[in-house]
Amino acid sequence: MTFLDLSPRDAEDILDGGHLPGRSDLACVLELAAFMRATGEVEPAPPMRAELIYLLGVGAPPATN
Amino acid sequence: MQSTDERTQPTSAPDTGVGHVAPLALLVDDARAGCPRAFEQIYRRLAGHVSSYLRWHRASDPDGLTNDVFAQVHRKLPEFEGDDQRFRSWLFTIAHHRMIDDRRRASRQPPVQGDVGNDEGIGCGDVEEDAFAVMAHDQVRDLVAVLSPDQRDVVLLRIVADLSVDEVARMLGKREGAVKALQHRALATLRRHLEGHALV
Repeated sequence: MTFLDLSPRDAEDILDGGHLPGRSDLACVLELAAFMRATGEVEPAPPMRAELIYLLGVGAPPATN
Repeated sequence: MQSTDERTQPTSAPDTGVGHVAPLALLVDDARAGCPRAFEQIYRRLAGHVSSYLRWHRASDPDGLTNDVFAQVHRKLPEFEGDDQRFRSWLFTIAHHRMIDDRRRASRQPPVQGDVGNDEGIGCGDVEEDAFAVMAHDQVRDLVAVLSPDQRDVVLLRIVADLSVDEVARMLGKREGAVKALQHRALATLRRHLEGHALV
């Protein structure tokens, strides 16, 4: 079964990070997948909060309200 | 019981600075043995991916939830067994459950206008040259939001969490065939919407 010439194999290749040469008709979804993948790779780790640092045993107890 | 000073030093995965990347499995072993430095390295390596995953799901506080996820990882680490990829899958299973809890919590609260999470940290590097980088990130998230919850879960776990079909199937309690069908329908839906988008 295909949707607009997008086969299950195409979908798998796109999600696996494949390039699908010669499939300019799928460029939009390939770019979207690449963009989404890149956001995970470039996003910096958020700062560790006091609770987590304390849990690691290297910080002071977090302030309580 | 080790002293704090002993535990701050990794036992088998030294951080020798630029150019040295300790294998994740070694860091996990050291963190499980009580080395906070190893745990911090795991955090630095994977917390951005977790935060990004939660952001794509429009979690209310991705950075705070990421901290919660890693706190749970730290607590449950002694029970963990497996290799790098298994650890990654386990980490995102915890993140996914946290996200579901967050979603349930949010659904019980009145909506706040314009509160769709924090965009800090997204959009640097080569991706800015992409057509999608010129779209507002919220627009791209809106695009993903057209998917059914099951389709969205599969696509985000496959792409952002970088998990395989069988790992996603195990995590979501589905058959591999069902995951493949969901990812196929999801991409077909996204493609249909993208073809109607002015920028593509």
